[in-house]
Amino acid sequence: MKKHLFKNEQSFDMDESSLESRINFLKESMGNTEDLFMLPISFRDRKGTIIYLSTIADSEKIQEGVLFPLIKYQDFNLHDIPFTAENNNRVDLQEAVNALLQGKAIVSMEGWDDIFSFNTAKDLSRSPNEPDNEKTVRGSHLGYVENLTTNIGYIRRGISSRHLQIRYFQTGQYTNTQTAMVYIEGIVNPSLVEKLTNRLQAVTTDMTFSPGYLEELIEDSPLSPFPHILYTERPDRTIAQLMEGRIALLTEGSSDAIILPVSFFSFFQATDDYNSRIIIGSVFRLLRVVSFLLTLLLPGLYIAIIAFHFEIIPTDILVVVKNSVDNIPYPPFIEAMIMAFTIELIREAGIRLPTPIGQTIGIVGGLIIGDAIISAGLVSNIMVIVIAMTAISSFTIASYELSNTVRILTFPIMVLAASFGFVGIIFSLMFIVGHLCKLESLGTPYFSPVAPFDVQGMKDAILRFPIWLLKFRPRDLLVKNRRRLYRPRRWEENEE
Amino acid sequence: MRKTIKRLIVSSVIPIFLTGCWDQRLLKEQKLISLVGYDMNSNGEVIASMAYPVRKGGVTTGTQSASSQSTILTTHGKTALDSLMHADLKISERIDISKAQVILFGEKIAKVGLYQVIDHIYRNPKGALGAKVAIVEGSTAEAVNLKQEEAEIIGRYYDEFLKSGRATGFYTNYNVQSVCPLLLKHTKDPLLPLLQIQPTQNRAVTVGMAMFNNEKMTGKLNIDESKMFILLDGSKKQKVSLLVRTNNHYKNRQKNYVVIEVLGTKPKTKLHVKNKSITADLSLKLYYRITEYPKNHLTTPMLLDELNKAIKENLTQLAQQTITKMQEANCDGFGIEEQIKVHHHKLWEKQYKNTALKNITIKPRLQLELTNSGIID
Repeated sequence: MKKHLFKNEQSFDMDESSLESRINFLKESMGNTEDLFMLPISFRDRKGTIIYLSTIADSEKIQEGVLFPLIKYQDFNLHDIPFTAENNNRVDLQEAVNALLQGKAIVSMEGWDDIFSFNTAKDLSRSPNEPDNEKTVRGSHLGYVENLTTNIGYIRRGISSRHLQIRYFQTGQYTNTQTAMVYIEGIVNPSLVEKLTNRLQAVTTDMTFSPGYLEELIEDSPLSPFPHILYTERPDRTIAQLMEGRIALLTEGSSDAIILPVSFFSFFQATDDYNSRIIIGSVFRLLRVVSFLLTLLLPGLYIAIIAFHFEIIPTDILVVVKNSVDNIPYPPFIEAMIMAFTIELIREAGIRLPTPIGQTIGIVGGLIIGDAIISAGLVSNIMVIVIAMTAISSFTIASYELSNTVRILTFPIMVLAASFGFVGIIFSLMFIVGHLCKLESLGTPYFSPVAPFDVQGMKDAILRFPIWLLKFRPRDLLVKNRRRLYRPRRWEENEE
Repeated sequence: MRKTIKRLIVSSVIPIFLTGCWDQRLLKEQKLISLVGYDMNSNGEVIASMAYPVRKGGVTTGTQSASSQSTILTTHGKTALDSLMHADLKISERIDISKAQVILFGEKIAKVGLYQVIDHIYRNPKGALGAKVAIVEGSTAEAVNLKQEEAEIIGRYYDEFLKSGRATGFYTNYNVQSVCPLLLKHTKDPLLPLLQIQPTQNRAVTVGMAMFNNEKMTGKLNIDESKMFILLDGSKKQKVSLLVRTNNHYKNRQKNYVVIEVLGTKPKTKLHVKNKSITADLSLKLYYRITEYPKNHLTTPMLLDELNKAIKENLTQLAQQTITKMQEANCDGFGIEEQIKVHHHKLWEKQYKNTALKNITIKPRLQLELTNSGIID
């Protein structure tokens, strides 16, 4: 049973059938808010009222869908009037309060027990744009909007199947945010659905305004630096993940869908991989995996090399490095910290500021500081190259969350590299790999298909194998139906 | 949860107190020695000369690419490492020879023995095992002091010098690592590049190779002999060119010579045992082409045959001369004793253990095949 943090329902001792008392009840329930509008009407000489919240109900819809039919069909029985506004069902007074909050119009007539509600909610969403942080070259450029119904509509349009299931939850006891859980019956592992349902029902907060707020409350180990929930603003990415047997969560008022459970390698899969040719897609996937390692290790390796093991690099390079390092007053670790900190500052400032100023900051920060810091002799030019390479390669990772995680993880690795050299780097890698192996996303192994090892799954992890070879859905999800495709190139046998 | 946090704090605090065993070695606090030369003075002390790059220009030249200049330091001590320790006293930063590219030895010290000089490199985990090894006629201090403009760093100059010598085919390819077993075991001996310094021209010149008996230098091969040794040994890396005298009656002296380029070789060492004495047959098949023939008119097969014969005669003589020299120096560069040890072990134990190379008859047997006489005919 859901525990209530506060009292949502009120009860009055009164006669519910009288129109006036009903109106009073609704007014009281809404706390006499001033955007509650009441429109007196009469139908067959009965007095009645249309009640709605003017801020979220569309008055035009009310006029056309409720008021006009009432006037036009005065001869009809109230039940038989063909209202053009959708979703006219009878509700009791308690439900009427909730209906009002969703932008519905309530019609109550004197002498009638039934209360009618009509869906007249204002369409508050914007027109869809291509998501800025998940751009693709080929394929769909559609992104989610801030309206739940529209967003689910995009998914429905992509998967025209009766197996697509949508379940609604109310989260946040003040905000009453609608959250939808979307999955495909017959593919998804039912125990995952049950688990997620339980977690969602157990959430008791006063508000949820975004999936990110929800994420912390439902994920397995919120303190881990690695994201184990995939955010996406793209319906096509959501659809692909749903077809793998994962579950998507969407909330009203947010243009993100969160996908879970996900594995570590889901963050490297970009939509473009599947839209481009096999070899090219594979190369770019590999590039992303390499850039992940580069981001994680490059600053640490450089520090370890020039502080401990400089004999491993060729003499010709060493002389160049020594020349650039010789007059720097700081040890390499401090040097790297200064530079990495500067880059993080530039990045953060670029995001927070409006776009035109953000670009200026990029130029001022990147070029001017970078150049000045070298000529001032605070940071060696090789270090600038290293940190800049790291920053650039971190941005190639297909997920914003993971790319931030990795850049933050470089700091402890730098500390260990500066204290213990290569030994420190190996230790930190051991720690990270161990942590990745231990992580679970909704109870499924996060580091699959590497651990537990799965040959079939590896086909879509580091490289992108041809689509006709990706015959099975990931094993770690324990889906009901693993087989994804049957001889898709059957035509080859028919030809010749 | 609390446990994890506790562990995390403990494991992050403990390393701070462990800094006593911190072996940080900052690159900017090391003097990277690129070239070391060892020599011996009349008192039997080891003289070490070393060159290290120093950054040219001031602090503010960050935007320009800074270039380096070599600085030279000479010290002496009782042993090789001792002399380096003395050098450390004279230098602003710590000395680091782990990136030395070339190690030069003076003729004097090479005659006393090489191993004792580089022993300290083998014992050091960061020792420069990849450094090339060469012998210098005369003083090494002069060699290290060379103001050569072909390379900014003098170590690099010698490195390239030896590399090209190997490519041209008159140097063996030994570094500190690979020469070690040859210095220590008695069954095969190394031959190392031999240089001479021309201080007036600021150049190093190749004079051939130094022959070693175990770890002591015992003789020298000139360039032609060195080339012949490389061919007989089969350690040829690229095409080797040889100047061969085929005639001596032309007034125009150029016409007496032919230059051949060896394209491929098939060396084979065979041991024959007769009356408990061993004869080694060094058979060598050479495929060559003519790259210069000033006399010209190489048209008929008969002429070619004649020329081939002359070349063969000449080369066989050169091979014989090389082998004789090596026997005199007791330098078993071919590893013949090793072969005996492997194939005729009992005989080796009885008779040929640590034997002088003179006691083994070595016969070179050359076969030549002309594959190409150039594109002009």
